[in-house]
Amino acid sequence: MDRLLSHALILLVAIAIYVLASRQLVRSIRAFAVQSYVLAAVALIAAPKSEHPHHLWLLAALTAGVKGVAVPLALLGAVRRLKIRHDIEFIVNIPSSLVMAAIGTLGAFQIASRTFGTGEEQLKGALGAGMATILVGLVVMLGRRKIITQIVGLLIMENGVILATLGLTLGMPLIVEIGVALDVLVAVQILAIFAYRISNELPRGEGPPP
Amino acid sequence: MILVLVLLPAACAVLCLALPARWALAAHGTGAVATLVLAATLARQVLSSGLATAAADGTFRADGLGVTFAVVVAAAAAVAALSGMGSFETQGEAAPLARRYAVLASALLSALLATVLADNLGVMWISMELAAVLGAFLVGFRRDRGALEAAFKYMILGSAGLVLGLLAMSFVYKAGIQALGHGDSALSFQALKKAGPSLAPGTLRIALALAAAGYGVKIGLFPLHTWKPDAYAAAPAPVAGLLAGGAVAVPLCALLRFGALASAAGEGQLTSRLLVGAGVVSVLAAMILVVRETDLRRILAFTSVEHMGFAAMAFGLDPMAMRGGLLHLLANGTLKALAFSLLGYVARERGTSDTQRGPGLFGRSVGLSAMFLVTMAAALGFPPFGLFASELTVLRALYAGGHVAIGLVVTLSLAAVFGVVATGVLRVVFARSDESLPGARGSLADTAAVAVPTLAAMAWVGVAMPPGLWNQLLAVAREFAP
Repeated sequence: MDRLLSHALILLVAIAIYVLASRQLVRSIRAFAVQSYVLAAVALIAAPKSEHPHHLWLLAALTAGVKGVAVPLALLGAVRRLKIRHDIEFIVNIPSSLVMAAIGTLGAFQIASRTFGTGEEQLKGALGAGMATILVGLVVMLGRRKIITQIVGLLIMENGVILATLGLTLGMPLIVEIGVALDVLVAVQILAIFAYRISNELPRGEGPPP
Repeated sequence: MILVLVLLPAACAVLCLALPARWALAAHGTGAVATLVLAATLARQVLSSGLATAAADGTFRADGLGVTFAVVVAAAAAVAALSGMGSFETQGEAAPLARRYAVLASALLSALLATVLADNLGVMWISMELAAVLGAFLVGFRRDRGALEAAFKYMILGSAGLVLGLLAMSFVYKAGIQALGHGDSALSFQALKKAGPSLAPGTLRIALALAAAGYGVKIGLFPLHTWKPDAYAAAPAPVAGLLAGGAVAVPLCALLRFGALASAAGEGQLTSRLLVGAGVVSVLAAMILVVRETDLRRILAFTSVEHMGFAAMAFGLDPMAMRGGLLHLLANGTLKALAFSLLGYVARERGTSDTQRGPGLFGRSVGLSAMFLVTMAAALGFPPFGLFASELTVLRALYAGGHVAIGLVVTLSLAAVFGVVATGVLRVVFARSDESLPGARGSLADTAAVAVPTLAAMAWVGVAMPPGLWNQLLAVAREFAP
């Protein structure tokens, strides 16, 4: 089980970095969906160790259902219906983003190992992986121009924070409610994308297709 | 009492849904005033007895910090609601918009009060998140391109801040588990603070740093303030007042709670340095950034960055300064709410809120000019109003504490911002221009009926603050200062 877990954690960070290095909008949305499934699997692995396993089951279902299916479908629908161009526009280019992500990842694992020493951590490695994912998500969010890519960055940050919380505490009280609240936040942002279309005006850097 | 206070605006929001637009605006205003009266009663009860009261199994708890912030939020909301009543058309096609504003603003007030009065850190976070969603709808209210862009910026930056705040909370919970065991008590501010010395300081250090970064975005401290000028310029005037006066103070309350926990665990020095550092940098940056702005709304947004930085700095110093900081938030919140609402009328009268263009206000409405001038003077820290007293208290504490360099920097920045804003305001009022606009004069009496009592109250706070209340604020400051 522990080996499965560490593979899953590596996969989670790797997917975040893949999104960071991706030039294709649709691919990064799909990658995010896969990341959500992996996160749901981590929550399921963690559940038996937790005080309240059913909270984590709910969280896993929520993550897989909302972030694995509904949100990616809505984002893909937005890309298709609003005819957003598929290539990603950068504020920070890929090599610099990767360097920032590498430094961030190392720092995250450093902080995680310093905070807890050895053997104390509940879900080995999840805190470091979660914080690394948050930082990579932050770079995606701040370093890309289109609002839809910024939302993907934010979603990756959210996955990271849930992972870090699992690693720190194996889920806290209200974790399900917090997960729902995060989903509401994203839902409103996706609504905002459609609102742009309703007003028939697109934000800067998001011109009509060529 | 606490639950009534939190649920009253929410009930008001539901009521507004069912009412016609004009009555919905009135209901929102009445609800906000009733909320203020309730908040003041609760604050008086808690501050004079020194005992916090709890509600709903300890999920909510009115402690000194919470009730003070509740009064700040409710006062700003009441002033914004009453003075902004004339900003919306209640007849014809625009009527549903007015009702939507009343519903959203009432609900936002409820979420803000729940945030400051929550004892459970998880409930605090969820309430703040709810407030962020409602705030985004209010910022994007006009639905044109600028408003939607501003709303999106507000939303995405705020969400990133909230995610970091959530991570900070996880770290606190981790420290709480080690000291208190699993369960709700490890998320209870009260229980955590009591267990302070047994919390792991290293974990709380990280939590505090994350909370400062996350909630710093929501407070709008430099360099995380970038959403502020856009949002306040795009939102309808009373919304900008509510956001700048009330909503920005709420994440500061959350940050102070994290700071109090870190201080309880023996990290008081870090808390103090963090708050003072972030505050001074914000004051300084606001001075530099405000110079190039010409739109009075954006200028006011930068003074908001300045004033929130000033308050954060005060909270990082000693209890005397913190007492000044609490008063500063109250005075700043109330006066900002009034200033933004009046600015809405001024912009309507002149056709723009730009300081470089448009006719002078004085030629169009002498009464509004006078009200606007006095309000802006008060919002800039002119005596005898509350802001002057609070700034003086904090600066005095700063110099008395031996922070002469910081004191000089802050004093100079305040003076410079004062100069920039005063120039802008005077230009708006006395500009000579040949542009002629169709007369769109609203009723002045309604506005004056709110502005005059508000200014009088602020003058009373500035000059004749009762010593009893002043001492009670010091007791709150002693409890929560790092």
